[in-house]
Amino acid sequence: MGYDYDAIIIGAGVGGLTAASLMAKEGLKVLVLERLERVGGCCSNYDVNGFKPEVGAVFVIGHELYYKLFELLDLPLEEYLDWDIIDPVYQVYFEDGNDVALPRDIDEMARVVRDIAPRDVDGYYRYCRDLGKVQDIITGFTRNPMPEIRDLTKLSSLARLFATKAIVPSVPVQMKLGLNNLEKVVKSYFTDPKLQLIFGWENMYAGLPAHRCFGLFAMITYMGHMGYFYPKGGMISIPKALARIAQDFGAELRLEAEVDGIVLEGREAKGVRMADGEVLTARAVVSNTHSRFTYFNLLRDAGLPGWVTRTVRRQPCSIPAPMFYVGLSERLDSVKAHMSLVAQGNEQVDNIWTDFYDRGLLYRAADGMYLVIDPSFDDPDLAPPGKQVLYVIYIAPYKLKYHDWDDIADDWACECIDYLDKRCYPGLASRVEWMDSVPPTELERRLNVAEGAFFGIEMSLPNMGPFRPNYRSRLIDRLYQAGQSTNPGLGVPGAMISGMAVASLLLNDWPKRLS
Amino acid sequence: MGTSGKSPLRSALPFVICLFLGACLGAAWAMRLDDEQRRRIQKNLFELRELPFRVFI
Repeated sequence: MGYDYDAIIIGAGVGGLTAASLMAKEGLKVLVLERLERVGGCCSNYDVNGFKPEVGAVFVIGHELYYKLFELLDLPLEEYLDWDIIDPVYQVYFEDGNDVALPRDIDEMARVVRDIAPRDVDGYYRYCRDLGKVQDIITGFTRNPMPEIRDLTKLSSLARLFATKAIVPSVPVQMKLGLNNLEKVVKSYFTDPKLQLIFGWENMYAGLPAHRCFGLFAMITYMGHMGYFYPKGGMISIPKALARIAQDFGAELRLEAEVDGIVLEGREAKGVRMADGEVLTARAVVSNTHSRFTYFNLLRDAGLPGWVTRTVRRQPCSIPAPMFYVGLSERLDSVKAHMSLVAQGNEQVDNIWTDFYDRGLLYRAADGMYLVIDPSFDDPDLAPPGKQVLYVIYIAPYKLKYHDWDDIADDWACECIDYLDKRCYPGLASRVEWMDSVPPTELERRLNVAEGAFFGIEMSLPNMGPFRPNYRSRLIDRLYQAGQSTNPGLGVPGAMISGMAVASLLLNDWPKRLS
Repeated sequence: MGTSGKSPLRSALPFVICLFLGACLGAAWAMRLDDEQRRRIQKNLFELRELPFRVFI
């Protein structure tokens, strides 16, 4: 049978484009299909009258992974990505009205810790020492050859990993981070509630309450010391660079190309059927979409057994992060960093999570916790001259007990703006020139993100490693899965690793399984 | 085949008593759980049941 392509990738997100560029470099005839008019998925921005807010991802973490990818592509990263280091890492607004900027440098940060709670300085240095050991493993891991990334869930790979030098001295720390939740880990280093908040709010990225979040998430704050980066042109610069590379290697990219379903022959993927009826055949299909979209939409004709759809439907998504974007007619001097956390007291944070997570309650704007991102802080070109674009994320459930998101989203965003105006950004409300509120239901429609959870499938232990959707489908031959739904999950680095893994797996399968 | 002279019921008695005590202790513990803890346990049991299926997705 003659095929139109060697591989068709559904979704031009970071995972799909990473896989496309690596496969195209090896000479495969690759086609990437994207429903939207732009690449990137959750790592992109859009333009409204010169305001370019981020859609999802807001900074680059684990930059060594990017160097690893470009090393595999035999290309210099500097030619494709121009990024600045984010410093201060972020600004925190406490409940008592004080705020503090968190510097990147460890000793400067120690001074901030001393100002807040002198008794916790030793704990801070212990925290840096311990988490630094884990950082060494992550650094070594990103430098490992690709098959080891691919084999993340295999016992032989883990055994090999444990044989590496950095692993052994850090075993007690790994046990601590692996066996305890984030709340316990942070409390073991810091006694002051403000410091516990500063070093323990990263569970927001996992979309899980701190007491249910893997202790390893403490690494996200620590990695701020290694550097958070922000690319010129916004986060979309990353998928744009990958798309350019893939195209330079010969891959084809089609935007505004909606896929209707995966064409099957028995339990074997043979290509895709486009929304306009066109059928494109390929030796392999890579779905870079959320697993629910893959199984419920793309594979709806596959006749899969009931337990498959049940399992996919029941796999929990992380809590969504409803958001709104605002364009301001004039810059606000009170925005002092790329990212700001507008926090509540620790007890209130616990209540928020419990009520959101278990009871579907939406708090009043004044009781919520916010992450405010100013893309134009680092790159003024992301807003018209003299103006500013802000992107505000808050935590709330997908299904509200007493409301419907589509009815209340705009009013809710206005309420939040008023609150932020009073609390830490005076003049915010009067300068709003443009606003776009994106509740979880809208995000689901725009990006096919199940339940509007752009952090993907929940990052709890029963949903990690072998319990996330497999890179190579065990149900459909020649179907591969990439993106945040797969391993390791969570964010741009997770999507990138999945893309590298799928490319490696598919290239290994090439001679025998896909001929 | 030799016999011990003890009835099977009698030899199983310690086990049955342990089981009964365990059930009583478990029930006492479960009665003292608050709503939040019950939800967590229910969620964990649900996740445990789902694990074998997730491996094949």
